Amino acid sequence: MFRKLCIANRGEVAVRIARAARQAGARTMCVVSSADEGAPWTEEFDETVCIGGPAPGSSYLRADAVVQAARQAGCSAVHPGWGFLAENARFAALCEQHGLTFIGPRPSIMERMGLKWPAKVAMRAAGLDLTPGSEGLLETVEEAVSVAESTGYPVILKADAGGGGRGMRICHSADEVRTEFPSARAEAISAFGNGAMFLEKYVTGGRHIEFQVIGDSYGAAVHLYERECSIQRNHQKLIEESPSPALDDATRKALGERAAQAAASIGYTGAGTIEFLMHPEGEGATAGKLCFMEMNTRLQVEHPVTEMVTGIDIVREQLRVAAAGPLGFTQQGVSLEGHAIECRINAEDPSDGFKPSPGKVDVFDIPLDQGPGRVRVDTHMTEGAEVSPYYDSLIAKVIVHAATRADAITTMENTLGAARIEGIATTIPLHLAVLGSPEFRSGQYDTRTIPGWPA
Amino acid sequence: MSQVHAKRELRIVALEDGNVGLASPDVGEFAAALPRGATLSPGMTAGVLHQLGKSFELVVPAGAGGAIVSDPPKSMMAPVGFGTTLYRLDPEGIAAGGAGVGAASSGAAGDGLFVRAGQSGRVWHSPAPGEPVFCTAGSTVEAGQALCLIEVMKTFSTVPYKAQDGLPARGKVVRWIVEDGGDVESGMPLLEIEPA
Repeated sequence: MFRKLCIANRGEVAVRIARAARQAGARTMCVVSSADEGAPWTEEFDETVCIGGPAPGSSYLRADAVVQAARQAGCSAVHPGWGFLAENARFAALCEQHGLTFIGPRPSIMERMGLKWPAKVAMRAAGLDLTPGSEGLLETVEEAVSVAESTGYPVILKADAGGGGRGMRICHSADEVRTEFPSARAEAISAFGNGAMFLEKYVTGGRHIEFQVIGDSYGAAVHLYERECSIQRNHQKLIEESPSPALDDATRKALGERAAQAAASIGYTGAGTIEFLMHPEGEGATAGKLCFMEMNTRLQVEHPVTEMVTGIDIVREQLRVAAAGPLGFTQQGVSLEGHAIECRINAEDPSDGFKPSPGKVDVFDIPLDQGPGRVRVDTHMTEGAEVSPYYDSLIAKVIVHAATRADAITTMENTLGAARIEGIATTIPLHLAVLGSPEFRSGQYDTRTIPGWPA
Repeated sequence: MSQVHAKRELRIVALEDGNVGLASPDVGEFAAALPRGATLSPGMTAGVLHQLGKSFELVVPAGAGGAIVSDPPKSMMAPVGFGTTLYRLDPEGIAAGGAGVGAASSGAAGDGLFVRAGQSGRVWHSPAPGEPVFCTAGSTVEAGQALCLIEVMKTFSTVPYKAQDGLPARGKVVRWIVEDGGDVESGMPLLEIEPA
C-alpha cells in the first residue's frame, strides 16, 4: 500500500478519499487553493499544500503544481477524485513520469475512452449495442446526409473530441445537416484542435443507466451492477438509485457481464463507469435497448449507492488495484442486497431558479437514525463552515439503504424531512417533491422531466 | 544545476505584527534564500523556486523593501506552498541600514556555489577605473586570488577567493551576480562559481 497519498481534489470527495486512505494505512496530503486553506474539512488530512489561488485554473486544474506538491510532500500516489484533473490523460502521464502512481486507468486508456468514436468501436467489439449512426468518422457533408437519411431524423452531429456541447448540433433535415456540418466541424477544430465528426440518431428521453466496473492489473474485471441516474436537471444528476427499477434480473445480469467483458477487453484497470441510454418507446428497433453512451474513467459522484447494495468499498478497491494488488473479490462474490438511493444536496435555491447559495452554514444536522433503513452522509460540511462561491455547489450526499425500494424512499423522506441546514438554501425541497411524486414511487420516470417538480 | 527559466514576482502580504511579508507565488522548492539582515528592494532577486525541473527567479515586487528580519529555511531546498511567507521585512530597515542598500543586484541566485560578500558596500570588478577586471565569467580562481574590491565609506578592501563554505580549491567563475559599481549586503552572493 502507499505510504502517503496525494489527494488532488477538494471538499466532499477529498474527505471521502481520505477515509479510505486512513483505513488502508496511508497518510494523506491534500492540495488546496488559498480559498480552501484552513477550512474545517482540511483537518481530515495529515497535511495540506497550497498550490494556488481560488480560481480552479490557478490551483486544482494545474497539473504541474499538483505533481510538484505531491513530490515535495513525499507522496507515492495521486488520487484525482472526480472533475478537475480526473480524466486528464496528460496529468496521469505526468504523474507516471515523476514516479507517482495515478489512481485510475493508464493514460492511453483514458485518452482512448475520452475520444467518442474509438470508445464506441471498443465497446461494440465487446458486444455492447450502440445508438444507430455513422460507421466511423465522417469525411464529407454528403456522407453525413446519407447516414442521416438512413437512421432517420432527428440526428446529432458530434465532435470526436467533444465536450461541453461544443461541436454538437441537432439536425431535423438534410438541409440542416448541410448547414450545420461545416460550422460544427469549425467549432470542434477551434475548441479541441480536432475536426473529426460523427453522427448518431438523436434520442430524447429514455433512461440513464450506468454499470460500475473495476479491473486490476492482472486482466480481471468485474461489474458491481448498475445505477439508475435518470433524475436530472440540466444534465446534472440529482438522485441515483441501485438497482434500477427499469431492469429485470436477466437483463441486469446479461448487461453487467457484457460491461465487465468490455472493461476486460480494453485492459481496463481501476474503477470506471459504462453509461447507457435505455431508448424510449417509439425508437423503433432500439426501443427498450440499452445503447452505450460513454465510459467515465474515474470514480463517480454516485458511487456510494453501489457501495451500499454490494458492501464493497470502491475507493478502497481503487487503492488496492493501483498498489498492484489483485481485486479483493470475484464476480461470484458480488451480490446485490436491498435498495439504495442517493440525493445530492446542493447549495442552490430551488425557489429562485436554482440560484447558487454560498455562505456560512449556521446549522448543519442530517440525522442518521430516522429509519427504517440505514443512512450514510458523505459531506465536508460542518456547523460554521463556509460554502465557497468558487466551486461546485454540492454540499452533501445523503445515501440510504433498506430492504426494499419503498423502505428506501421512506428512509430518505424521513431523513431529509428531519434535516436542518440553515444559513444557506439547499435543494432538499426539490428532493422531497420528487420522492413524494407518483412517477418516482412507481419507478416510471425518464431524463426529460423531474417528477413532482414543475418544469 | 537547473536552468533558470523565468522570473516570478514574490507576493506582498501584510503580517500580523505590522511587518511586510514576501510570499511564494507558487508551490515548489525554495532555494538560494537571502540571509537575515540583508536588505531587499524592488527588482532584486531574492531566491529561486524550483518546480518540476523548471526554476523561477523570485523577484521583489514594486512597493516592497526593507531588511529581512526572518531566518532563511534550514533546508537548501525548502518545500513551500502558494502563499507561504518566505521573508519577513522590517520596512524601517531601509533607513536604518544606511548606505548599504543592496539595490543593484539583479542577477539570479540559483542553487549553485557562491562567493558571498563579507561586508556591505559597493562592488568594483577592477582595481581602478579603466583597468582590466580581476576576473570574469570563465576565469579560473584559486585561494588568495583577488576577485573584486568592496568600497565601504571611501575605504577599499580586496575580496580574495577562499576555498571555504563548500567552495572548491580551484573554481571557475560562472557569472557575476553583482554588477560593477553595484551595492551588496553582507552575506549576499557576489559571484557564482563552479569547480574548475
